[in-house]
Amino acid sequence: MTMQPNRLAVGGRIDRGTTFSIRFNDRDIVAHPGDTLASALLANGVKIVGRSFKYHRPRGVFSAGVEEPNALVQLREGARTEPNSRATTVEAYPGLVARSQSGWPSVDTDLGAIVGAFARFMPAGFYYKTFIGPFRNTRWWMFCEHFIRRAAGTGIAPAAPDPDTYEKVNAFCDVLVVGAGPAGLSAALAAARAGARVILAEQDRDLGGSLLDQTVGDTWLRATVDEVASLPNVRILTRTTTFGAFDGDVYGLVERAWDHVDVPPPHQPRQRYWVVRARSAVMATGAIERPLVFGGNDLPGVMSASALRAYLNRYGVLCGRKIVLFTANDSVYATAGELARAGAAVTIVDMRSDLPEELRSRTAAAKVDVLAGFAVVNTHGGKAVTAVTVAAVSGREGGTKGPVRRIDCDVVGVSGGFTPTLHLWSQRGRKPRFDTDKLAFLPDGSIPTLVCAGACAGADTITDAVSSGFAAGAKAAAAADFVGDAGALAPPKLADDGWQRGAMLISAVRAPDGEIPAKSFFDLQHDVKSTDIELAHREGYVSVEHLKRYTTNGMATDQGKTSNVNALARLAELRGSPIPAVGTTTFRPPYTPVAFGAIVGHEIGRHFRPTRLSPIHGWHAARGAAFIDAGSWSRPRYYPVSPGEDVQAGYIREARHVRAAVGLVDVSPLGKIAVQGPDAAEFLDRVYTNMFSTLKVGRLRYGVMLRDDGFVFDDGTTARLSETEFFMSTTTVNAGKVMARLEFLLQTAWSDLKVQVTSVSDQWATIAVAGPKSRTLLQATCGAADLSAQALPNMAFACAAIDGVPVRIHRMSYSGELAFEVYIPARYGHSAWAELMRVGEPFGVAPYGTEAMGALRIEKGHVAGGELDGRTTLKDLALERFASTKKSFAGCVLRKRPVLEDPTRPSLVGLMTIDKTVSIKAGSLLFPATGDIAGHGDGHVTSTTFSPTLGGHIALGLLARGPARLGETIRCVDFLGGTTVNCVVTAPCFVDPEGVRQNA
Amino acid sequence: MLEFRSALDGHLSPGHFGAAAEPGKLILSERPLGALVQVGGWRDSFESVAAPLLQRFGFAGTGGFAMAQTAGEAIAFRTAPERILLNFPSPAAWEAVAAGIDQAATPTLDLSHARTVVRVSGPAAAGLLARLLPIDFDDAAFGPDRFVQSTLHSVGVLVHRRARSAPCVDLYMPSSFAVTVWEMVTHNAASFGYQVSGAG
Repeated sequence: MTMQPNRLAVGGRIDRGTTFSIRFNDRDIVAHPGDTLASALLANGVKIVGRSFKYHRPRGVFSAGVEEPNALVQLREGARTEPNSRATTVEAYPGLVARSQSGWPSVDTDLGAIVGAFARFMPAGFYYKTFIGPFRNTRWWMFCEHFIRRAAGTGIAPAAPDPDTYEKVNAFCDVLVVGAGPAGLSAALAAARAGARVILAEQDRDLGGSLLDQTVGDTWLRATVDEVASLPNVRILTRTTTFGAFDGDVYGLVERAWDHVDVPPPHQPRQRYWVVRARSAVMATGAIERPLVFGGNDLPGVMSASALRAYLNRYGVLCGRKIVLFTANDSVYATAGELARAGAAVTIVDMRSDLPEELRSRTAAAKVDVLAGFAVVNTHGGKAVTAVTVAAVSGREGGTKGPVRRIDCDVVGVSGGFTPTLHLWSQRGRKPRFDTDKLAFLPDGSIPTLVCAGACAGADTITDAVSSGFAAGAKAAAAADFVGDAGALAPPKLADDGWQRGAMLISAVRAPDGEIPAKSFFDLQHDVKSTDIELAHREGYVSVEHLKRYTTNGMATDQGKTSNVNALARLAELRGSPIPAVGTTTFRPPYTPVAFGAIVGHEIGRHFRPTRLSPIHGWHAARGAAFIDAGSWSRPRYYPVSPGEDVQAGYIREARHVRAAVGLVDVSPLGKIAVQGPDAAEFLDRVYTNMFSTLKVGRLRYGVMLRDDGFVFDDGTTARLSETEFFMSTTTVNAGKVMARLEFLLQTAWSDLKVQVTSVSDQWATIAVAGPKSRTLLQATCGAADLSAQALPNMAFACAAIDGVPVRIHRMSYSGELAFEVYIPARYGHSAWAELMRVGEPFGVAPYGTEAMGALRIEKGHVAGGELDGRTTLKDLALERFASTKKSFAGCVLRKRPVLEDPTRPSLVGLMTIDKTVSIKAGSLLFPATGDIAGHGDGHVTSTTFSPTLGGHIALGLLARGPARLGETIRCVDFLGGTTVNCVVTAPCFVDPEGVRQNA
Repeated sequence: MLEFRSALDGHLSPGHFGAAAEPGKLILSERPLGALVQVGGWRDSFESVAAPLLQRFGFAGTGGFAMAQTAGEAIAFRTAPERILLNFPSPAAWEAVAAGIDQAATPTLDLSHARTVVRVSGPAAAGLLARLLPIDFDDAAFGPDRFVQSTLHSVGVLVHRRARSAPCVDLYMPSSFAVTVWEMVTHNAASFGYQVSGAG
């Protein structure tokens, strides 16, 4: 391990008793518990952490918080690697590995920096003007983008699946307090004392906010934290960022539960996504120090002044030995004294000339030099700052005059004031107002359930933050109906200069020649300079929102936390308007980047969506079935009889077996709906196109229902169980939709009907028994029940029992064979199937899957999903005989629209390939045997299969004037596959059109 | 007699799973359903017809929409204005009166096989359930005998807080979704450490 040249011997909140090593760019770095990656790098003297996005300029750590624009690193390795991690918020842990994201061959010596020599040719809009506009409608940009993105160095997303888990948690509270600085702690205490359930969310590891960066106030902090933590009605979430504020007082939080270790402990999630529903909230999100813009303000060593203080007091790191603090407000004076006492030679360059005597005397006592009425115009240094040039200020617009002075230094701390963190407020749809006294955007108006407190509300001293936080907590609690006595809270005893007294807001420092130096950066992350803003303005992008998109100022991971105000101040200058007239951009979630893993949570892999399983699923799995997802169901596709049997061979074998002997197919996924009530028959008459009130008890009837617009919605078979009860079956795919439609009609259109519908899909396991030996098998299984053709004709049902369990046997056929559907109470479904297989062994019973089921129904010409696609009518499907003329029904009027009555509409036909070895692709378009193949043709293929019965490939299709074209040869054209297959048009029913087999 | 198999058959192995935890911190179990019956009716007569029927089982009446009623081991959930779901510990209690019910006035429906009940109990129950359901499980908001119909992993479930001193919640889920919901429950329970038991 190396020495830590910038680590002080004493001070800070780190655990000096423990030392460990981390790796940065293949170099060992010494760190302590309590360090961040950034503080460890600074302690070890690392200056250059990355290269800039556009010009590859060297960049070092700028801040100590979430606003960091420069120090973005590739964190961890392998599947756990994470790009664009802010070194300032990454907690150091043993074994941490991080790398710079750009720079070749190294971040210290980057050949990409040559780009900087051409900076003048790469203004805002460069990429669009150069690579996209002139080459519109070509793939030139796609080609170039690959290289440009590689050069930019934006980190690498992991290619391997994330090995960690993530949780989603729902939480409820009376008061959510966002931020646990002085204001947030005070708010949480007040609300909790009033009796409210409080969630206190803090993005840092520790509670305290800005107090953690100071050497005073610890007594107050400790006492306040202890009291808050002791209250049973307070839940404290640290390492938790409130990234989104949404309608209905819903907040999105991400807790980095185990990001501070390389591998989370077993069973623990890396992150948690909290969805917090709060009755009210306190936003105590603080403020972010604003940079000052001057020449070379991006060199490593130029840092925010508050960051210098944080590294000194929280991490025991003195970032430099000769420090210039450049400011236009009071906040750096305390920092200057602390840095000087730590051993640095400190010079304050203050743009204000009329400083209070109290500040001058304090700095004199601390041996800090003050240049009042001066500004830093430029920095010097190649890879790190070595000196600054200062000049006297002229006016309040950032101008300078007269001779310049050079001051040697190794760090420049800058403070242009503070920008309240209003992101959550903005996300609630409110625009902030610019306060000309505080020189900051502040919350405007009010949200009854969101109270702002502390620095984000304009309190610029800790004393003010505590009092405003305490009041906000009590107010938020009252908004949630907790009006108990919260008592009082005294602020910490500390001297606090605040930041707005006599402060100045300038967009950029001008050199004595009146020009803004070329390398004056407004947005450090995207290398946006003054010339870019000026260009945008010249080209008409005068809205702050347009400025953002044109220059990319305020985009990327930091979302302009340090750049927005300075940039819009510059735009205001160019427009000749005051800042309030220019306004600011709208903040949208997330406040800081959120990992996709946290958003996805546990809905990943097989948990991406729920999976439905039949009661017989276990049997299928044990038999080695190949499964297929059918909607939300996992269904057996076929049952391979040997390891090498593919689906084609499998389903042909199974379908052939059903026609020859007997097969079982699990049709439990069919939708099943109980329709009960004295008006049930009337209801079905209205829902179905055909009549159900005439259906006798004990009989089944096939029915078709239409949508209101006259198109076919669904079909199925319904049994009449009693005078007042029907048992409806639907297609599997439409089960939910049919149920919802029936409920809708009963609750709105026909609320006068005494009918109740209930899904019973899960109550019943359903086994279809099909084939010439099906009756024999069932008779052998059910014993006493009479299942003869006379006792149980087609489209009737009988009650029976399998091994003592009552079942209902519907005689109906989907395959065209003699067939039955057996309805068994679901928990007996598995054993009933097993019993049928056992009893059926002498008859050669075999299971068959959805592929064979589909083949059999196509052979029989039954319509299914391919034909019921929402665009077909009864007439199209040759089902018009099911449209009753004796009653009205849903869709009966609009199905008669002229366009739906057009005789040239495609209608259902069968298709048989002339070459029996050639298959047809579903979706192929149909064209006459001769003529051009152009346009949409005469129709399309809806379902295809190989017919074991016919020994060739067949299909169903919708063909214009189809019934009149039987025997015609047509072409089936698959444009995707580039094939054309000649077919003969046939009737849709290929097998047993007279129904001899099913009526046996 | 055919074998009676739960939808979770083969998926519940008794033992401790996930993170290390003290015994009893989080217990998952399947609850047997004796008879689950839906009693329906019509707007103009439901109260007058259904209330006497429920009183025969010891319930006070048709009840409210958020609080379950209990009568001995039987439970009644009013799931809709004219619908009540009755859970009996054994089918016999229901069958004794079922035959005499006028189905035109009070249609009843056996749903005993349509639902599977998973019980979540122990001090960590609320923490686990917060990861699964957008419901405030605080005692003040969801106390004993409260019930609500919600979605868990996009599956409609009935959530019933049992009237016990220790946190105990029953989840009634459609049987075809039982495995997928169980897997989601155990996936989220792993960080707490959980015990699968035959009875919660």
